[in-house]
Amino acid sequence: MTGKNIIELRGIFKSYNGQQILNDINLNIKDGEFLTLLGPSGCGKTTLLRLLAGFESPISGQILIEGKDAKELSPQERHINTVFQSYALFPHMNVFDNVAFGLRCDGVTEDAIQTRVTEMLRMVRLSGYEKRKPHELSGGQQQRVAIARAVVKEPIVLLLDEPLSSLDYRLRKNMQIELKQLQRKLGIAFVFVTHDQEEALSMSDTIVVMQQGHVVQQGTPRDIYENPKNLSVATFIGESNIFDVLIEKADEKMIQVTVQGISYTLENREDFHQGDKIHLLIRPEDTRVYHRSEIETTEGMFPAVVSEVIYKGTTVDLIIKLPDGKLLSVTEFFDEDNGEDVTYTIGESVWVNWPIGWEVVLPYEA
Amino acid sequence: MNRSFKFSYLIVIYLFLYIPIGTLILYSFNNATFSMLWRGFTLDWYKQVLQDGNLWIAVWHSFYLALTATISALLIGTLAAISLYRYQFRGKNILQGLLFILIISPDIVLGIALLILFSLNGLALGYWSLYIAHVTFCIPFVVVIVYGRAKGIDPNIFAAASDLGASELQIFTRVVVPILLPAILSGALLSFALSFDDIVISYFVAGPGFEILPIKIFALARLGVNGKLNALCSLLFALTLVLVCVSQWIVQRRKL
Amino acid sequence: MKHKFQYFSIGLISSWLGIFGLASFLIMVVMSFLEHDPDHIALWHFTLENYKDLFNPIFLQIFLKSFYISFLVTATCLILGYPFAYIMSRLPEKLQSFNLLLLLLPFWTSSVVRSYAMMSLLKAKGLINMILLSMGIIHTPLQILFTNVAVAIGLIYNLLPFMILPIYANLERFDISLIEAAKDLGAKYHTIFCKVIIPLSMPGILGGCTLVFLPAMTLFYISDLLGGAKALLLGNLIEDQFLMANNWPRGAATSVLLTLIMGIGLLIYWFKSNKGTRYESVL
Repeated sequence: MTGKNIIELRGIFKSYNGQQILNDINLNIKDGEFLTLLGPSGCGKTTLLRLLAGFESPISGQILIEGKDAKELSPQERHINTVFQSYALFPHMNVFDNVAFGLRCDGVTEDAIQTRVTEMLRMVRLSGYEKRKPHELSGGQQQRVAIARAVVKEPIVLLLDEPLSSLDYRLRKNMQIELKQLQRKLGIAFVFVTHDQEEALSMSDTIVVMQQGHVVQQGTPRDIYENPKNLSVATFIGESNIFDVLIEKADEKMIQVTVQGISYTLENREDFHQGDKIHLLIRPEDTRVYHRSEIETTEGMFPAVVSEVIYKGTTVDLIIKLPDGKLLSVTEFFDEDNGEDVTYTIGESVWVNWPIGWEVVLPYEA
Repeated sequence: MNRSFKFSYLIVIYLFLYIPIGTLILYSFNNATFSMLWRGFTLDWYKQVLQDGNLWIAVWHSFYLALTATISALLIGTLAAISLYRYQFRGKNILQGLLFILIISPDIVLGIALLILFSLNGLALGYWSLYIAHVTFCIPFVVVIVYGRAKGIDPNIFAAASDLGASELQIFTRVVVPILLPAILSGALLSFALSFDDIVISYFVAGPGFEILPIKIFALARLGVNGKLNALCSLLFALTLVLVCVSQWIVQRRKL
Repeated sequence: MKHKFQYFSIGLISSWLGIFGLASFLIMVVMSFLEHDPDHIALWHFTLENYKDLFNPIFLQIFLKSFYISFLVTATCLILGYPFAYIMSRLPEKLQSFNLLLLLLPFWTSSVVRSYAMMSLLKAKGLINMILLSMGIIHTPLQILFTNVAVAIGLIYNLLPFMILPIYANLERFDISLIEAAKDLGAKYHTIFCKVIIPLSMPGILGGCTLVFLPAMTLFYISDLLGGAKALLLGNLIEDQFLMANNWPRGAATSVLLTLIMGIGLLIYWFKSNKGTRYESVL
């Protein structure tokens, strides 16, 4: 499905008033992929999007669009369109005229406009809404007009700047699915900006994690979640229980560490050496807790006390307290098959471990 | 405070605002020269107003002046408001400050400042001096109204238009002007009313060759109350009423 | 294209306001420092005489009187206008816009017409005297017209909406939950009014007072029509200097003084209110 690079960014720098916003960005966008720029606000992801759209130009570096330097392309020749966070629908035009605006600017004949706009509105399920003004539409409908208005220009890449951030939770969930379906149907690349990691994980083919003007990591959602490159990516995407420990012994294959007084032998994936300080990350859903009665031996486990129980419907989230006062988050899934007892009471003693090999080991950061 | 007290308070203030006008209208039909005693119904005063050619020349002058001044102020003011909104340029703060001061400063100061300027330049007082003065005091109001509306526009709208391939001219004619149209219209209405009604500034920069209505009324009123002036003022009030109703009707219709 | 448009529109407004707004004002300031000469507009000779003249007891008396009347008018407008604005801001939305229309309707007609209307109401054989006489409350007509009271009434009549509108604009945006919060915390109605509503509507009150006080000193035609021949207001003084006494430098000096008073009032307002309300209250 995904193919050749249609946009290549090479060594992009951008600053405002002496403040560095983008720092040496190198990025390829492939034809037909759903790429998400993920990062906290102020990380430069929106600026990057505006560079792609051509609203701003980089201080240095090169943007290649289908192999051509973007500097030589007018906005019309870029074939890139944008869906704005605020939708930016023209308030004085009805739905039809909003969608037709771009075509009219290009001098497309009214007959062709009629067909293309009608087809487009059918695609975003807004047939019959042609005569409505933007303020007469719901948030989700305005959203779809904004998408239709951009997509009707048949761009090779559609840029979406946090398009779901102003919708409520349920609508956002629905729009995520709709957007994903639309992207498959159109077969064009989407570049999607968000600060919501859950949104990024569930929609993207590729996630680009940005922090302070840098691309920190790029990969598939699974890759990013399971193998975060550093502590900040790990903590930004999903929750983690983090232990700071010292490597007591290391060879090419194994490292040995002590967590809560228990010695563990783990795989050496990053060429760590004896004496290195590391972060040991365990996701809440990988953290296992047992009642004493459920297990035969407590070998390889450390004790804890349940300090909070949060019932979430499909899961039970626990906060447990270790003897040294450290708190861990635990997510237990209801699973009727294995008959595991997931009822916990506050103050109860439990035993903790995790499936060896599911942990993430990262070099220590001050 | 209870409801009836609130409504009686509003009514008392409205009585204060409307009784003088009501009296004026009532006595414009009174068949007596100076007296306030009711001497029977007459339309004589209206007949006299309609037959007074000089009066109608003043009306025409006022109308012509208000129309030309409004069109010019609208053009300059709208362009200025859009530039203030869209562009950053040196002296922007000074320009905004100047506009603000022109709105807040007493009319009389602008009136005499312009009078001095015109006399030093040897510009004869008449239509042109009035035109310049009226354009000058209308511009800031147009700018404030149009700029106020423009500030409410999502700046991404312009980005969206250019993203969809609109040129700068297309953005101006298809997006900016249509969105600002209600504000431009209310700016026009306000300019026209201000210009048509102005007395303080006009009083200083008007010349004998170009008599306008407010100054004519002022001169007549100084001579005392009389039926003909009552009739004239009633007509003016009726005209205002019609214009306000029409503009309200337009506003209401736009909303639907 | 973008640049041509930008230069054209900014150039147009800047030159217009630069010449007719700024330059004319500066010329007026220069004029105020020149020597008076009956045969010419002024003599090209620097002097402070015009400003010294303003401290002459006759002028000083006019200043004080004009100040006094403006103060009375402003205070009355505030007392009459604040409750009006408050009641209006608490009405249902449809009634609010209807009341706004009703309030502003008379003000779309010329203020000369309105002052003239007030004149016919107040004169010796006017409606007020007629009613009072026929009710037997008085036996000889009251002299209201051509007194200070008549001028004050005329000014209040003309300026009341300028007090009501800024206060209303302020109260209308007032977050009702603040009052509820105060009630919830146990405040009595008059405590809420004095400690919550009044302080929060201060920008509106200040805006209204500025918009009433300044014109109240300058609307010379109201005093001409309702106050008779006496020069009552600062505005009349300026009018006289220009059109009767033909002493332009002194008239210019009076105007500069008036502008200074305005400047001080504005500075107070500037520091007491935030940026957002400034332009709005002007409208």
